[in-house]
Amino acid sequence: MIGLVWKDILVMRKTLRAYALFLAFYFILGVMGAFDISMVTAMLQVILLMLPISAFSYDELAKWNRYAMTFPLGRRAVVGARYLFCLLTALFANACGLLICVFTSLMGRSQLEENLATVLVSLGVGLFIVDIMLPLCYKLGAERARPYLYVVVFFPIIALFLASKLGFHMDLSFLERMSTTSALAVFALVPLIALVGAWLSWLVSCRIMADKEF
Amino acid sequence: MTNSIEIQGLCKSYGDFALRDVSFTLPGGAILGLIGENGAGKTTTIKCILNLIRRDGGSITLLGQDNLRQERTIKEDVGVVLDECFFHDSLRPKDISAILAPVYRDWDDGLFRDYLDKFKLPGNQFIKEFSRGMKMKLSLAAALAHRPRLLILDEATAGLDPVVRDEILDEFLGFIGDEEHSILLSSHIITDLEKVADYITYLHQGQVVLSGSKDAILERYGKVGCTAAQLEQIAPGGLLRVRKGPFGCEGLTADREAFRRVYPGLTVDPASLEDIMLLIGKGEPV
Amino acid sequence: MDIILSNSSGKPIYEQITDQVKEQIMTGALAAGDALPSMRLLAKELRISVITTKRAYEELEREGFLENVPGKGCFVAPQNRELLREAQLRKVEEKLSQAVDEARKGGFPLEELQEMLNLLYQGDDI
Repeated sequence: MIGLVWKDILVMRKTLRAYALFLAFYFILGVMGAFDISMVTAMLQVILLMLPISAFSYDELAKWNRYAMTFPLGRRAVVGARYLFCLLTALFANACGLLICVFTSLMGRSQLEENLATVLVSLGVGLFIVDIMLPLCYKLGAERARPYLYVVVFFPIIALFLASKLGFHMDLSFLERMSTTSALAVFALVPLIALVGAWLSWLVSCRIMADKEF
Repeated sequence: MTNSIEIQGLCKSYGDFALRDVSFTLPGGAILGLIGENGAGKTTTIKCILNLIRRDGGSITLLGQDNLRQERTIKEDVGVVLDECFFHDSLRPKDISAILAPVYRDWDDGLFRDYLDKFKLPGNQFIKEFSRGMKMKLSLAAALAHRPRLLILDEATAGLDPVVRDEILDEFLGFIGDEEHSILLSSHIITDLEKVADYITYLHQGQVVLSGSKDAILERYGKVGCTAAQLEQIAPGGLLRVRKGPFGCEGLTADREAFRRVYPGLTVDPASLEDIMLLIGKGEPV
Repeated sequence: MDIILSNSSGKPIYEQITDQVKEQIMTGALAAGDALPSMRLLAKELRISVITTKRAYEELEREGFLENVPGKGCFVAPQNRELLREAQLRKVEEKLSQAVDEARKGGFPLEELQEMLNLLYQGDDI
């Protein structure tokens, strides 16, 4: 399975390097105060979300899956490798985000706890989107799944926007009454739930792949 | 000696095409050539063997084990080269090492690099820049480097020039150095198979029409030339197939010595694999 | 050991091999105890099926020309050269008497038969 994760990394070497450069660029700008930390984490998420679809795209171009099915790994492991790749990139991207947070808060620009919370939530949201997109990619292929990416990203934003317009507000005041650590723990739930979702999503993807003919 | 491949009653149907009751055996230490026209079912058979597609019926045993129940164990010992090179353009041969080493238990990096040298493949060049022949050789190197006991190749030599094909065929002959190693080679380049195959299985419209040792087939089958009038005189069962043309008829017999004895006046020549294929493919049954 | 195969000679490949090996043994090119290449190596070098070489070697062993030492390989069996020669001579005599019979049936004179023998013998060597 590690071999296949390596494959995703090596195949998208150039793309990953370009994104790393972007990251560095925004980091510097963020440090210089041009951007808010949430901008940076948003950038991270955008980068992250493109990768699964790109990975599928490259595989489809090379017709890799047929070859991969001749390996002694089994279909579940092949699917698992893709999930592992997405999880690793999510963790890496958000770890960078965390570093940025620590850096900016050391510079006194913002609150560490707030930023931690942002990072946790962004990790969770990113993972959720991966959880939804991967089975779609397995089912429909990269190109036909791509439009759904926009739906999945914009739908909650629009829903929240509409909700706030219509007067629904989430009552998050209970968080302010908790200690920082407990509040953070609540935020940490988001990525944890997304991880459980990843496992469920993997099961769904495995079921889709089990019936596929190559 | 275990048989490397045993297929019994394999069935698989798609809308307008079906594999029906395909059975053949590849003994250890041999090369079996799977021949047939395009669309005859060679690739479908190979995909069933590798479980890339689900079969409808029949049993497949590879290296003595069931190909479904022990799929993952078997695949450690099976090297596969399909009709295309499936490596991404942005990879290099040395990347393939990194990718496949964790995949196969017996991956031998030194052996892979030896093959790269032997096939003159630069380890650092992107696959995007490889010619078709180089891509095929790379796929073969990758298939051989994990020391498989069974090599399965589907049209791997199609589209290659004769020199490269010769190199690859030489590699195959070296591979079956003992009874533990075998090759299943599907091709419609008959001359390649006439050179290296020990056994031949001929698939025609999803069914096995001919299966046996290549030498026996080439020694026994015969091409008969006769006129339409003489054709009438031939007893049923004498000829398997016949092609009628404006200047005479061509027939296929399964036993040319016997045929010569019964019909001494007719021209009977040895039939090449290609003759057999053309007569079965384009001739009518008698 | 030299083996030259011909696809157009009409003789099955395994027979061409046995004939050439026997010839080399009888002329002394292959001596008793000489190691023969393994079946698989021969198949690979001649680019023929290993089933063919196996068959050739099995026949040679059956007729006493070869000894298969398990684990070591195939070796030329010690031959009684005289006996071999006699056996082969008997075969030639048998075939020639058949030819003579056929010639008599067709009413061909001896000279014609001799001429034909010349042509055939020369033909083979070319």
